Amino acid sequence: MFSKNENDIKNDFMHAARDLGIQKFDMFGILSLEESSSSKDGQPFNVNTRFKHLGVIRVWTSESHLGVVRTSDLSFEGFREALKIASEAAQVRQQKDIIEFSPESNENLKPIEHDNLKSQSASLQDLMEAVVEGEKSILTASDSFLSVPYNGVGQLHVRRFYLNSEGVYKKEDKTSSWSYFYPLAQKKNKKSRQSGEYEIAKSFSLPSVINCAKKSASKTLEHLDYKAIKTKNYKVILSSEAFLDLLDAFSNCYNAQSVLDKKSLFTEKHLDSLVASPLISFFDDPLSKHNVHIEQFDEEGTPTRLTKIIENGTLKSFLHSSFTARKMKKNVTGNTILASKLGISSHFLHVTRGQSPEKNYDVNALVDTVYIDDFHAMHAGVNALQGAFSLPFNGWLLNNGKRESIEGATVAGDFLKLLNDIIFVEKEEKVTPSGVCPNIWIKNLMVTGLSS
Amino acid sequence: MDFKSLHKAAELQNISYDFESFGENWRERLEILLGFGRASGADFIEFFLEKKKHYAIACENGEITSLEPSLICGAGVRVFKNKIDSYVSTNDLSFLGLKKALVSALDIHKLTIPHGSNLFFNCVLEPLRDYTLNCNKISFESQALSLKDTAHVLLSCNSLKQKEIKHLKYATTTAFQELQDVLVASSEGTFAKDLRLTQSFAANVLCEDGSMRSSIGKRLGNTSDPMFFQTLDEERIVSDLKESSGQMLYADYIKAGQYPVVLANKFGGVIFHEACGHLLETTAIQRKSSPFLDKKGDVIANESLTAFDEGYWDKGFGSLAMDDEGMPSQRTLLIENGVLKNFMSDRAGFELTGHPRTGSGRRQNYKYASASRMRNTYIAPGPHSKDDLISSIDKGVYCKELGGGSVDPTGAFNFSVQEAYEISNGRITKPLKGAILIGDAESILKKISLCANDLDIAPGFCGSVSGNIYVTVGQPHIKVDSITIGGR
Repeated sequence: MFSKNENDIKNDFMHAARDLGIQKFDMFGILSLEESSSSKDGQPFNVNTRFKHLGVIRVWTSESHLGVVRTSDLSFEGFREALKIASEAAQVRQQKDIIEFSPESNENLKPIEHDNLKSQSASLQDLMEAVVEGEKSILTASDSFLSVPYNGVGQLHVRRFYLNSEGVYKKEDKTSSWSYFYPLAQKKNKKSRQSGEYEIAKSFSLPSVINCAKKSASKTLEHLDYKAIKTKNYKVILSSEAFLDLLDAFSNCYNAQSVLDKKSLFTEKHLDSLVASPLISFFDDPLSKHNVHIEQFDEEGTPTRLTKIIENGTLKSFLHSSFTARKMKKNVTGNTILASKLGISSHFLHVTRGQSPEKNYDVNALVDTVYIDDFHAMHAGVNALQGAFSLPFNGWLLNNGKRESIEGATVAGDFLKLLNDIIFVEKEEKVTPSGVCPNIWIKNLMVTGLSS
Repeated sequence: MDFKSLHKAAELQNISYDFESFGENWRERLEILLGFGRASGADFIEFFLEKKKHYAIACENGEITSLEPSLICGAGVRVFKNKIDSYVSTNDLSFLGLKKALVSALDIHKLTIPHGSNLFFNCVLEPLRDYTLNCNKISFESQALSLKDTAHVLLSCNSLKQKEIKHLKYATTTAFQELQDVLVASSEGTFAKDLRLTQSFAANVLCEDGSMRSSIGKRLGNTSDPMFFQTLDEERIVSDLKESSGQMLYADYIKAGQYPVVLANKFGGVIFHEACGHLLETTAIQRKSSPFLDKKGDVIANESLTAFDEGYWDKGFGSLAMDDEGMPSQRTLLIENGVLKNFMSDRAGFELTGHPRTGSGRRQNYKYASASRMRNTYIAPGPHSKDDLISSIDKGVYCKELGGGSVDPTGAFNFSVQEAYEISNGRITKPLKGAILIGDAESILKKISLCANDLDIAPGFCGSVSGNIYVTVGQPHIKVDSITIGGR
């Protein structure tokens, strides 16, 4: 499947390093094959196959200065060039802090029972037929549909590996399949509306693709009858997807590197103190059975594991790289992205109820409440350094069990205040591509209507 | 019968190539591969080859915290058959690697390269159009500032920030330099190469005074200018940051509502980029996701509005001598006095919509098929002064610096405002924060009623179907009669 054999890569890399007299080094690498297709007017469109190689290489000089380089050329000559450039970079940078291999890079990986099911691969022809079928199922569902401008079905085979000069070598293979449909629909004398659905799974399945298409169709049709909303404060319910998007946008809060850089809204002093409503807990659960993209080791070779971030509103831990863990005298958490400055990222967030609520809310009894399906423009409407957000959304106005689609509105607020204004966490948790989360109820947020 | 290609192909498999540069030395192997593709029955085949040397540096609070070079090489092959296209990308630039990619791309159309003694198409490429000869581009690498010296520039700027800016909690200065070598060859005979030097510098500060915070950033960037880092005006950059961060530190949150607005020049042009630009790309037209798709020749904007997408603005961040399909760059008139004149089109856009190509085929790298994208997009200057615009408003908002934004297929757009001020009785008064501008493309263009005479451009990054690319946005100061501002 992959054009290069990882044993050849390993041997070429070690040989190149030794040839240049480099004693201490490591590499995180990816070999991948991605196939995808979209559909337009009943024909396959943008049919793509991507063969990709990438290696992120670190070298240490005799003075313990670190140089990093990325390369797509995983041949012996490619490694020689890359290692030379990394060595040059080390001389220029001459970082003050000591950076070492992760203390757990040599830990063996434990087998995961729920991850040993063989994934079913599809051919590219299967993907092409599926996406065409999906588009057709939407366009035939209603005359209101104008087109499905954004759609796609694909699958990804990935081989990840980590190796270092101390003889550590680990690898894992993953396969996943994804589909998305974002149809455009319009009712007479009204503006066009778009909603959508995105799903991922361990294996391709035609029924799943058609199901994804049908969900996107019904979601879009539900929004065709919309009304303008008044600008004021509303009680707001955030869907699973919306709340997970916010958690990701404000990940600097629980990113230990951001804390060290003073770019986080939290500091080390916030650990073990109440920072959110006691009704909420969330943790990073990379090995969750719901996580399609299980990664057993991070890019430093550290085994991944469950990390409690907030428990009953109390900040329990940040997510760490080996560097931040050493600095803060904490354990590594397996969340490193390998780069010149180590990055940190969550794998799969799981949000759940913390303390039991004092009362249960009935959604059918709600009046003048906004339900947010999903946010748009996360890259533009979030100021993570200041904790502020102002985001357009797709959503509903709920009144006594009835709901009306909202026309083009934005919601604004402060993230830390939002965490403290959580008044209810629903019991039922939804599995999404990026995590598990229930609907989250917020006391109030300012919503601006388009024609207010 | 032509057996030359067969014999040559067999030889080529065993030759190790000099991967140092693209040029005439690639002609023979590409002609053979293109010939294979045509012999299989494909209507059109195109190879895009790329080598990229990129380095990125970050300086935080007086220390170089990140210094990351990357070396990327790859190729993409695109095949059209009956207006359906396939695209395969690979990191393997050997003859066998490219042939494997071609076979995969043909296979998607159920086409195969004929074997044995079948007649081969002889695909002849035109004389190489070598854009590296323009502007002495081959000296870019030697003239541009080294990794080490760029690090010194960043340290110097960071040090100046720490010295000049009050309540400074965090200062970051970043830069990147990218040298991209590209070669395009197609079965229609296109054979063109270019060398692109793109450089960018960004300075950001986070200031804090008690519970008050402000975060401000400034970015500069250009192409084809090896002296970019050497000629940076660090004092001016720091002075701008100092003023903006100081103003915004104690700003009130804006009250949501409808306001007349004056948008500043330079990055204020992102309004046109988001509200209109994307919807004039054939990428959107062919998906039927633009409200302007059948409006060519119609009035779509206020008569004060004329706008261009310029392929070659001197040193513009989005400038290209040729696009990523090998077509020479050009200036495209988009809107003239409110009338829609042209769309931005690439090869696929022309095939699928009939709108003529405008040299707008662009891609982030070899992993993507080219798509019609913006380059240096701007609203043309008008007759008024900035003061004319401000003094025309009783109660409104002056948006001095915008952040990023987006548009969806319904035409609904939004963008964040980094630095804003109240306009009261025709004068700029107190600072405001937390604003997001929202609206829809069709109505906003008709509300741009006044354009000032101070056109200027700013670098930006744009993400779409063919990845993230470098662009320029630009405009003079403009007045929008009414726009919805989201706030608290």
